[in-house]
Amino acid sequence: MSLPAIDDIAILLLQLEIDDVDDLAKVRNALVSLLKEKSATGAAASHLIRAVELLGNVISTKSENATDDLVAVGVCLELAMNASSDEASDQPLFAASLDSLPEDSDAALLREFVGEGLEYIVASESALLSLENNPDDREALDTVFRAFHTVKGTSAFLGLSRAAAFAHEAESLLSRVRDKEFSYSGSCAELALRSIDMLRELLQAVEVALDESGVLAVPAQYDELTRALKSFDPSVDVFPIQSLALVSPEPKAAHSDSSIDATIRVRTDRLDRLLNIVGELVIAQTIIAGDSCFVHGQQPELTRKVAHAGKIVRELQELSMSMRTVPLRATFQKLARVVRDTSSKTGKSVNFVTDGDEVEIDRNLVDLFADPLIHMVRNAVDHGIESPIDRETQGKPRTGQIHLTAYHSSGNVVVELTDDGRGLSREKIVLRAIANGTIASDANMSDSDVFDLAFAPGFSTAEVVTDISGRGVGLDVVRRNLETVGGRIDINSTAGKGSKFTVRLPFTLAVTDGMLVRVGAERYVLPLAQIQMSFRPDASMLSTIAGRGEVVLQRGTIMPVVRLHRLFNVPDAVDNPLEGLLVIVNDGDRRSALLVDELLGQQQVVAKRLGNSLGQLDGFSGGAILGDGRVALILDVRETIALNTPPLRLAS
Amino acid sequence: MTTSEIPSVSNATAASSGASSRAGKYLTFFLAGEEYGLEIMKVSEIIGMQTITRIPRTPDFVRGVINLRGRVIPITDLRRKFGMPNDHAAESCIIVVQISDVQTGLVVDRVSDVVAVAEADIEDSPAFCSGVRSDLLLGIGKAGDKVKLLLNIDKVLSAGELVSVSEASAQAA
Repeated sequence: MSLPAIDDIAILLLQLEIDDVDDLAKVRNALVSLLKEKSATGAAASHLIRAVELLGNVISTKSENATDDLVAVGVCLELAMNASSDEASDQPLFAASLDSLPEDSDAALLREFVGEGLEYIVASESALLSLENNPDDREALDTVFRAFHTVKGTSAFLGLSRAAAFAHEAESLLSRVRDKEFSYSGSCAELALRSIDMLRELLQAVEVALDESGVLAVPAQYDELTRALKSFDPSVDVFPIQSLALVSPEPKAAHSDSSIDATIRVRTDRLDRLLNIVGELVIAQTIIAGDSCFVHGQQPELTRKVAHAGKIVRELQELSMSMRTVPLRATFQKLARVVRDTSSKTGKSVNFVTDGDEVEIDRNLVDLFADPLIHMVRNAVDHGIESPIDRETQGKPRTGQIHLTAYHSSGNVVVELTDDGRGLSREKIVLRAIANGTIASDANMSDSDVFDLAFAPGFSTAEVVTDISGRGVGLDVVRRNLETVGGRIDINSTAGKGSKFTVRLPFTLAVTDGMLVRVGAERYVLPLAQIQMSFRPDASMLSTIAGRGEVVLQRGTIMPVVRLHRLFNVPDAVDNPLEGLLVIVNDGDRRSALLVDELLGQQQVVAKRLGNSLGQLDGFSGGAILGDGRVALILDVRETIALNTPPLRLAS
Repeated sequence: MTTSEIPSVSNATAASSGASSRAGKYLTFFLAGEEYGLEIMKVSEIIGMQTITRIPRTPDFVRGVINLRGRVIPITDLRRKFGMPNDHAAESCIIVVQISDVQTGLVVDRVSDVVAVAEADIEDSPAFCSGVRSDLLLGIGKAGDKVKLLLNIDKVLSAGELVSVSEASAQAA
């Protein structure tokens, strides 16, 4: 077949530069042999001869402007193609009714072609979209052109004449765009996108034929679209096939199936190792960049090179971090199902709304996070939302609302679960806790302290909690699960109005935004997300309250002062708060002021476990390797505060 | 969670080593003037002394953690573990051992040699023994005219030891 041969050469030529002399010579030889075999005749042949001449000039560097000549070669090939296709179009390109797979077709080969072709189509679809925004995007145009061409060539080879013929027409349309006959916009763009859909349908028909019927279905409006492509006239502004717009290309499911081919599965431990090594690389790079020979500007050239390498390393780090994240979508979809099942079982009417399911989260966190979330959602339906009748008597709409929202907030992923159910009753929790012996009285307890009691292990048996508040079944388990992955959960609730559970999760288990602080000779990393502010107090702000120890009053809030150096037994640290800094950290609604010597700066750190053999460590969630290669411990704010406050509330 | 696994591993090792497999190559090192041996198969590397990050609220013999090529590994001070006098001037290096999947660094005074000890040259440890509890020893090896205390490193580092210490501190608190 002469046609594909010239086309192939044209495509090859597209990818060549004037100095690819060897490949250009191959192109020339191919054209020469085409001419010898007399596959090209008439007008086509004369164009080819001109192309061979021009190529000869380029190769022997005789031509004065090689780049222009190369373009001219391309034009000649194009003309030759058109000339020969004009001749060919006199004959029918395919038998009129080819509704079954070619007899001698190789199923494996066909399958491979379908998979490959669909990949091309996905690539061209996005290229077409970007072409629409930027009609001069030559690269995008070439991408689509190549896709159509490959599909055309391969389907012709495999005997799929319909696909081949259609791809040919689509290719012609684009070659007219490439020749600047008209610009890619409006009806042309419409047509090109529809062509992509049609090609996809054609390929899927092959798949269907292979899987089931053995019969090649002709997609609807194949003929109309082919005609539209053939007779496309940019001056006719109206898209000639109005009716086509009604055809919804509905191969979405199949489409996403086939695009799975574009992803590969990687074992997570390999990914973790990659992250570790990249983390090391970042540190090594930091150490090099911090070397004294760069600091004094003695080596400007080397400094520039090292800075360049540093940029690449950071990019690599970001990329490798992003490889571990996935959207929350799948998790949220699972929850919609949970809501439906639970509400129908309990006879509740619930409207479940989700927001922000595109927010991404560490792959390792997804599984760990799903269970607590399912638990919470089920609780919200089961115990939070009242029965439709109860709701009506309270003047609420019969249908309860459960809203699940995810968003990013200072390095965390925050997931909020809000319902308009019966809410938590502080009074009843307090009564129950006193009866339990958990607390002696609720004096001095904030709402958040009280709701926190609902998380206490053993506090909640289902019966009691349903009785009290409708909440709390297994909340201790929920909280424990979340805490193992560095998450936090807080409740906010108004009796009768509803509850809001706020879960904060780290964006990734791998990186923490931290603030490096110094206490004596030791350095610690505080999670930035939990830092409110830092300040140097004056004497009037500090006082000691009996039973609660040292406190600081700052903007109307009284907070306990945590002397880290005492807690961690660090010698030679600042002992007087007036000489050091107080860093206000929050753990849920509770705030504390940590006394440190100074802030050393903000830093992204890769959190690492401290090794299992050390067992549970008080006050630290892990270690981080700093720029100087040494390890700094990452403070666990909640635990640190707990260490500082002896269990006052526990009735002895 | 992992802590429950480690004792079973060390028990298995202890059981097998008690019988016949004590012979083999040992890395020997000095602690407060005495020479000790460590099964060479458990040693992954020897590194120079470096700055150790202290971990507050841990037993005294846990010196802290270091960065070993991107991994954070704990460091145990063998002198302190065995209740020997502290002498930071003497310590020179860290022996990194690997037991199951866990790496741990051991601070010692000086690494001495690698010696092959035959079973015939190993005696069970007597009840009294230079400050180290005899149940922490595989035995006493003779190489040439010298005597080396062969450590049962699994047992020395076993979670049981740490748990008992932290239990004690928990009770004290």
